[in-house]
Formats: sequence, structure tokens, C-alpha cells
Amino acid sequence: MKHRLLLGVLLLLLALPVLVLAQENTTVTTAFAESQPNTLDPHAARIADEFLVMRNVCEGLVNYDPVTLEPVPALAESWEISEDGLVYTFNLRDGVTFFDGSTLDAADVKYSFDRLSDPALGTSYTAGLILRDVAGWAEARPVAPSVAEGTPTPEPIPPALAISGVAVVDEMTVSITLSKPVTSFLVRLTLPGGVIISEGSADGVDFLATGPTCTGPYSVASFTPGDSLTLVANENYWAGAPDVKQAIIRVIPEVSTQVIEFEAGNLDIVTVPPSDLPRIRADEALSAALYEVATLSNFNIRINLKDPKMGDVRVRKALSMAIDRQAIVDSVLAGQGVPAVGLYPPGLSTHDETFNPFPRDIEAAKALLAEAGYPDGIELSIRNDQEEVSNRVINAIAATVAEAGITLNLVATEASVYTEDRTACTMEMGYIRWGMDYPDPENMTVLLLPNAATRVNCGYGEVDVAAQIGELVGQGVSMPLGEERDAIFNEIERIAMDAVLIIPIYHGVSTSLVNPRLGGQPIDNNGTRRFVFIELE
Amino acid sequence: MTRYLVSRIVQLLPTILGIYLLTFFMMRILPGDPAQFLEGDRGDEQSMAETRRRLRLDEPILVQLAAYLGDTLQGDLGRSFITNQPVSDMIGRAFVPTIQLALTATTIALILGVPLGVVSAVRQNSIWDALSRLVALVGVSIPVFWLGLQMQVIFGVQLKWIPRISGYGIDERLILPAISASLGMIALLTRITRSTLLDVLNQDYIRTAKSKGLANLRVLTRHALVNALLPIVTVWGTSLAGLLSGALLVETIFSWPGMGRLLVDSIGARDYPMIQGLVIAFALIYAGINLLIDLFYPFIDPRIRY
Amino acid sequence: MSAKTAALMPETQHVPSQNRFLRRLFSNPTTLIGLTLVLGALVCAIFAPVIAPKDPYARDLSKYVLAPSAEHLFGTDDVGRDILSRVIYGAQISLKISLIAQGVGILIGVFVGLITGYFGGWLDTLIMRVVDIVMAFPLLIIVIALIGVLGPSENNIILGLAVVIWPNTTRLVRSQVLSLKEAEFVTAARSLGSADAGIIFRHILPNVISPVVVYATLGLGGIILAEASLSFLGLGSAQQATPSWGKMLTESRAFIRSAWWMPLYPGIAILLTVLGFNLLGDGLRDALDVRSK
Repeated sequence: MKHRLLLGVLLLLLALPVLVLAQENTTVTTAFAESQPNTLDPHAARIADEFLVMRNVCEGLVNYDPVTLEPVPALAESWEISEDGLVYTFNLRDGVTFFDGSTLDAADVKYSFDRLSDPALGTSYTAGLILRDVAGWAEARPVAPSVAEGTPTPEPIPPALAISGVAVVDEMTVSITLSKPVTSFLVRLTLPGGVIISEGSADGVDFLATGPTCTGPYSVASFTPGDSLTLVANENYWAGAPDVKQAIIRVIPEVSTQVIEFEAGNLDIVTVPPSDLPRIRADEALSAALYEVATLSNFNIRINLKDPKMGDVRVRKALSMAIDRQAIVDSVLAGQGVPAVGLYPPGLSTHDETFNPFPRDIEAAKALLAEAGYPDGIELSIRNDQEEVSNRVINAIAATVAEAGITLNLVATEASVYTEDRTACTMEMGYIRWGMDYPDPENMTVLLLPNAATRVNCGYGEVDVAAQIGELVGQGVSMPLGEERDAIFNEIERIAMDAVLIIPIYHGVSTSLVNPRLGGQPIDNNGTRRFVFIELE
Repeated sequence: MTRYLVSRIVQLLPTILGIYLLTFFMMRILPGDPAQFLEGDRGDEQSMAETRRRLRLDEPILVQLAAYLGDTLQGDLGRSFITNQPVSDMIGRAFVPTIQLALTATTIALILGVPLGVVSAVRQNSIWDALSRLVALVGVSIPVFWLGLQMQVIFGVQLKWIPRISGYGIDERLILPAISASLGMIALLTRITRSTLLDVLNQDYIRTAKSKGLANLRVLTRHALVNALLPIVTVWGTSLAGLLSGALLVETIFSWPGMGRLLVDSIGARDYPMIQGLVIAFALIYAGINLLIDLFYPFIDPRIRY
Repeated sequence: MSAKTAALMPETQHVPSQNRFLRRLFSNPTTLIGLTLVLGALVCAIFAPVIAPKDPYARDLSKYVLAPSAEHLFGTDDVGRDILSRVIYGAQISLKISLIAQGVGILIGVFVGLITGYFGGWLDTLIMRVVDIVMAFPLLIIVIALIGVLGPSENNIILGLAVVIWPNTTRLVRSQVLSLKEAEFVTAARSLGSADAGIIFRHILPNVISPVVVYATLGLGGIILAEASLSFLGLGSAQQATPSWGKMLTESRAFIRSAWWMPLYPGIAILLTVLGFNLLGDGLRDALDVRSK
């Protein structure tokens, strides 16, 4: 063993010049931000690490612009929307080939959307986001029969039905019919679930071994779970072969190690935890490599509105007014965020700088608490999973609200336990890290309505403003983009903040270290690493 | 001997079955649900129901057990809920790095720990004794992640002696994790070697040997060390088994794709088939190593017979 | 029959008199250092409210991660709490968990190990199968299960750790007993008609105790660290604000490079306490062992 080690070290010393040269060439090495992909099936992808692969490997009919995030043509060269906003007709791009050599046509599109709607695949929630307003969704996705007590042989999941709203018009034309006009439909189509894979390519395939058969700038060359995933450039990419020929995405669970690997010169792009930021900013070489992207997000507290304490709007308002958001952003977040007092993050047209329903006011908070029957202060508890930064943020919240006589206790449990309790209403509040699925204000209103997707789902349907908000959302969803639509969503924000349905804390900023040799735009404005946009000298 | 071996293996079967059943029911009593994990933050009630259906989690528990047990008896440990890969493949993939790390670490520990223990026993109450014990103690007392990260910075960033400081490979990347994983064991081995060696050295027959004028070194090797081997081997074996079930922190800090990380990820995800498979794998590893140790005892101490 | 009963039994040639034991214990300087360290930790734990200069729970964001100064000798953490005070209070929870868990685990382990090793037969087979099952179970699953079913609390962590500790001790003791029960002084005692209980506690127990003491003291630091890993996995005490050394250490590892004082001081507290227990354990061993010197 000793000899082998020694040999290994020697070999490495010999290989060192080669490694240094390799740094100069066209390979980019990075690490998964959270853990690693559990699947490489684009229609089942759910988590950020899976999305990272899909965004680099696959494309849908439309994609988003890396700067403006607006939908731009991808596999569809152009499209028409009918007068009534119900029928979208996509003209497919000519001469696009999949990794398996076949050429893109309408049948591939139909195949992909049918597959996306198939509940037996363990399809991602993005299926719902993309297809729930497409005609035929309800029929394609009937509620699975659950097993009755004592039934020995359960019914299998019903076979997939094709989604009728997606139709082949001719070889290079596809139409998608909606059940109601939805302004954000094109934006939603850019979600990872909306990607097109080669017809039949998913049948009997082990995605983890092969990766998906898509059309994007990279394909999956290999994936060793727990170790790394390698992407190679698609030289036939329709928009031109990318500069970076190989991208290695390593699995490095410890964030501190990621930063150390960057400093050792082994990684080109890493995420920086806020705890390390002050040190990095103070270091000349490292601070030159910092790369900040404001993310469309709202880190907030959702509330059990049925709870005797939190059901009182005065308690919620007092809590919100007692939080010193700026101090939290300046300390534990090291500037990785901007204070949030409403729903919409900067970057959305509905973001209003002047809106401030919760100016910090300790005396007003105390008065509200006294009015609500807690003149001597109140003890509250908040649930979270074990994500470290958010636990730090909650502790910081507790530090600032203590001044108003509020004792805030954090109960951090495993994510699956926290999630399981979401409808049980055993918690007073829960911390929510809400990154927007797509850049449209309607995606933020999810936080105000009954929704299991938010980990705390108690009483949101029963609160008196729920019907009003629901109605306004229904209106806003179908209205054309513009000031009138924004006004509707701002009205929703005002109502929700008056009733303090959620307590916003901050909008996130993601900070990375990027090797200065990488030009172009290595990280798009959605916070995703996009190797295709990297320019090498 | 053969009869003993057969009886041990026969005894193993109820142990494995006990572990299997215990894990099965334990997992289902626990709060947390694999469907919840899979669907994550954004899953709605319908997709949750579909996932539960797909994973057959909505079936009566005894039906699930029968199905599982049936598959297991045919040698099929099922597929991971999370990755949909065969459990046996995933365990196999994680086992190789695990055993490489464990063997390297235990070897380092033996090479360093036993001599330190011998030195401190032979030179009892001298400065060498104190030094040996201190080295061993500091090793076990430094938190592994603190030391691991510091070593990464020192050897990877500052001195640049070790170009690649994390990740899997039988090359320079093995050095730091193996050292980190061996630290706890070095202390254990030093202490147990010293302690038992002192016991043996002070026993009458060693004193007799000494009084007969045998050379110090020969007394040590012939009598003392051989007799002290029993607890050393026991400690070494349990440490090896411990490392084989995963040096969790070391694997995490150094991105080593071993079984400890697989287990933690699986528990977090409530990946029942994966946990079930891992627990059985650990049981087999543990039983195997202990059987080897027990078979080894009579060679060290002829008073033990089977 | 228990260890306590054994202590009440008439002295034999294998058990030193109390005076000789104490004399030996305190004649060794390293033992005294160990004792001092352990007593120091105990004093911190018991008199924390008196000793600690600040409130260990008082958060103040304006004091976010301050380096050590006259005002805060050990600096402050990421919500502005005084680290010195938290380290002092941390002794309470760290000592409580490690001492009780180890004590319970070792007592059970020694007793079971003596019985199973001495009598052998079907009892040995049965017990060793249970030991096998428990030891083959990863610590994590046992603790998650206990906490999941009984609820998160310090007592359940202690219970979980004790469940993990006893089989190791049993194995260690049993392997010693196996070789001891064939030793001359045991066979002699047996042929002279001593009762089994007498042989176990008078002749075998004193001879297996030193490895167990070594093992137990060395394990204490491991338990403090195990408690840390458990809190890291969210299985520590439910109260996030409670200062335990292990938790302070794991939670501050993100600051390991930017604020060295955050992980350093709880780390030193652990190091000194573990060192103390070990030196003390060594002294106990030498004092207990009648054959040395």
C-alpha cells in the first residue's frame, strides 16, 4: 500500500506539468451546488443539480435569454399565438440533430410532451407547471387510485394517455392548445421539463448511465454517482459549437472544501457561502474572481394561520415589524441579498422600491403585541430543515426581534420530516426558501394561496382575503403583459402584506468564484452555470 | 473447527433476518416519508399520491414486507427509491472506495499506534511514555472536520504538496482522508497496546522469564506482545468494521464516495430499499470481520479452543 | 449481583486496599493534571451561571463575529453571542450527555460481558446474537429511530448512545473473560469450590477492569464528538440555542477560515476535557492494577 501511494505521488509529480497545461485548455471544472443528480431524465428532474445538467444538455421549443430571462426561440424558430390566446403554433427549426443523429421533427415534440404528462414516470412538478393549463391535462393525469385497506393486489397505475392539447400539425409544425389563456405559458415552456428528447429514446434507457438524448450544446459523457459528471461539447450544436469542449461537474458535499479546491486551482466555478465572503472580499486575487447574480427569490416565513397565536394578524405584523432585515443582510448574509418587505424581487416589473409595509418599529411592534394580549412579550417557534445558511438567518431574526419582547425558537429537523408536517398544522411558522420557478409575478402568488408546495399549508384557503386574492390571480394570469397586469399583481401584494400572509425576509443574491480565464457569461441571470456562454481567449 | 464455522454461519442467518425485520419496521414507524422527499418542496397532493402509488407505499405494510422479503430471498434487493438504480449496484459502487479507505486507514493506525503503545509501555512513566500518549490523545481529540479542512488548506493551497485534495482516487487523494480516518484508531490502538502490554509485562511468568535472564527484547516479542495481541486484534477488528460502515465525516469533507455518505443520504431521503440493503451489507461485513477475529483467537492464545 | 455488591465483598489478594489505591492514584503527576482538567470542566458545568461573564443566549447582531478582545475574551459568534460564556455553559450539556451515556452503556456492557463470557453456552450464543444485531446497526439509524419515535430530547440522545455503547464493551469484556476463565487462579478458585458469582466478581472482574476503564475514558471524547455529529445531522437537542461544545464546533465549521476563534475554543474545550478524562483513566488503571510495580 505504501509503495502504491508513493508511486501515486511520484506519478502525479510527473503529471503535474500536464495538469497545468490542461488548465490552459478547453476544460472547465466545477462542482454541484447542493448534492448530486438523482436522475438524468429531464422529465423527472426536480432539484437544482439536475436542472444544472438539463440546462446545459437539453433545450425546449423556447429557451430564456441569459440576460433578460425572456423567452427566445430555441427548437422552435418562430411561433404564432391565436387571437384568443388559446392556440400556440410552433414552427420547428430545420436541421437540428439529436445526439443519436436523428433529426428534430414534430413527432419528437409530441413524444416528449406525452412523456412529460405520464404519471407513471414519477414526473417532476415541472410537468404541472408546464402542462396544467394545456387541454387534456386532467384526462392525461387522472388521480391514481389508492389502495384500499386490505386489498391484496393493488391496481397498477393507469397507462399513460397522450396529452390531447399537444398536436402534430405537419412534420415541422406543432400546436399546443390551452384550456384557458395563460400569459406566462411561453415562459413556463422554458422550464427543464419542457425539453425535447428524441422520439423513443427514453424507452428502456438507464438515464443515469447515458444521459438524455437531447439537442443541446453538451451531452453527458459519463456520470459516476458520488464522484463526478462529465459533459462533452456537441460539435453539431445548431447555434454553433461552444468554446468549452469539456465540462466536469464534481460531487463535493462540503461547501468549505469547494472553496478550498477553487483556491488550490482545481475548480473553475464554485458557490461561496456567506460565512467565507468577508475573507474572500479582503483577498485581492480572490475578490477579483467574485461573480454576483441577484436571484429571483423570496426567502420568507409562511404561517400556520390556524394557530391561536399566529392566527392573529397583530402578532404577525408585530413580528414582521420587529425584524431588522438590513442588519441580517449585512451580518449573516454578508450582503448576499436585499431586504424583502413585499412579494416581488428586484428584476420583476412588479417590484416596487417605495412599497414598505413593515418599517422597523420596535415600539409599534410592542404596542401591537400588547393589543393582541401579550403585553409581556411572546414566545414563538419556527420550523426549518437543516440548511445551514437559513438556520443562521433565523437565529439572526431571533436576535433582532428579541428587542420587541419576542422570543423566537428555531426547531430544525430533517427536510423530509419538516415537509411531512406541512399539512399537519403542528407548527406555528415555517421558513421557506422560495426561488422562482419562472420569472413571472404569478409564480410568487403561490406563496399566498393554499398550496402544499410551500411546506406550511394551514389556513391559507380559509383566511378572509383568500377569495379576493384567488380571483385577482385568476384575472392576472390571463392578462397580457403590461402595466395593467402589473397593477393587479401589486394589488395582490398590498392585500397580502396588509394581512401579513407571509413574512418576507430577503431576496437572495448568489455569489460565486469564477476563474478569471473564463470570459463571456459563465452564470446566467437565473443563477445557472451555462458552459455554452463561456468564452475562452 | 469446521463444525464451529458451520455453526457460526448458521447463527448468522437469524441475526440477518432480525436486522432485516427490525430495519423494515423501524423505517416505517419513523416520521418522514420517501414520497415527501422525492416530491420535495414543490410537489402537490396529486403528484405525492402518484409517487406513493409508484413506490407501492400505499399498500398495507405486510403486503410490502412480503413483496420485499420475497425479492430479497431471490437475491434482489430492489431499486433505490431515489435513483431507481439497483440497490446492489449502488452498494457495490460505494463498497470499493470504502474498503480502500478503511484498509489504508487501519494500516496506518497499526503502523503508528502499536509501536507508540509498545514504547510507552516499555518506558512506562518516562518522557517517551508521556509523549506517545500525548500524540495519540491529540489525534483522537481533534475534531476530524476541523483537521481535515485545515490539512486541505495547508497541503493543497499553501504548500501545494498535494495537488488534488478531495475526490476519489487511489493516488494522492487517498492520503489526507486515510490519515484523518486513522487518527481515532491510532489513539485507541496505542492505549490498548500500552494497557494490555503493561498487564502482561507485570504478570508472574514474564517476571519469571526476566529473572531467568532472557534478553529484554526477546521477552517482549516472545511473551508479552504475543499475549497482548488478543485485545489489539479485537480493537483493530471493530475499528475496521466501523470504518467499513463508513467514515461519514471524512467521506463528506474529502468527497470520498463511500458507504457512510450513501447511508446518510439514504436515511435523509428515507430511501427504504437502499437503507435495507446497506444495513444488511453492514451486518455481513461486521459478522465477517468478527468471525475472522474469533477464528484468529486460538492462533494467538492456545487456551482458547473451539 | 452487581458491581456494587462486589465492592462490599471481603478483600482478596487482587483488590488493593482503599488507602493504597488513593495513594497510587495521587502519586502520579499526570493523574493529578487529568483530575484537575476534569474537575475544571465539572466546575464550569456546575457553576456556569456564576463564572460566565455574559449571558450565553444573548444575541446581538451588532456584535456579529467579533475577534477576541478585552470585552469578549474568546470573541463572538455569528449572532453576536459571547463565545467564552457559551463554552462555559457548554460544559453542562456536553458532560451530561457523555457521562450518563457512557456510564449507563459501560455498566450494562460489563455486566452482560462478564455473564456471557463466563457461563457461555446458549446464553452466550443468544446474547452475542443480540450484540451482533445492535453493533451491525449503524449508530445513525438507531438514534434517528429513537428520536423519531420518542421525540428529540437530550435524554433520548443519551439513550441512543448508551444503546450503541454497551455491545462494544460486552465484546471487549467477553474476550478477556474467555481467556481468563481458563487461567490458573480461576481454575484453582473453582476447584476450591468458590461460587460462580464470587469467581466472576472477585477474580475475573478486577482483571478485566483496566481495559474497560481505558476504553471508557477514551470513549468519552468520542461521545462528545458523536453528539456533535448528531446535532450536525439535526438529531441533537431540539433547542437550537443550547450551547454544546460539539454543536458549537460543527456549526462554526463554515467559519473555519474566516473566523478561527469560532471553532477553536469549543475545540480546545473538548480537547482538554478528553485529555483530562484520559489522564485520569490512566491513573485509575495504574492504581487499580495490583500487579504493577
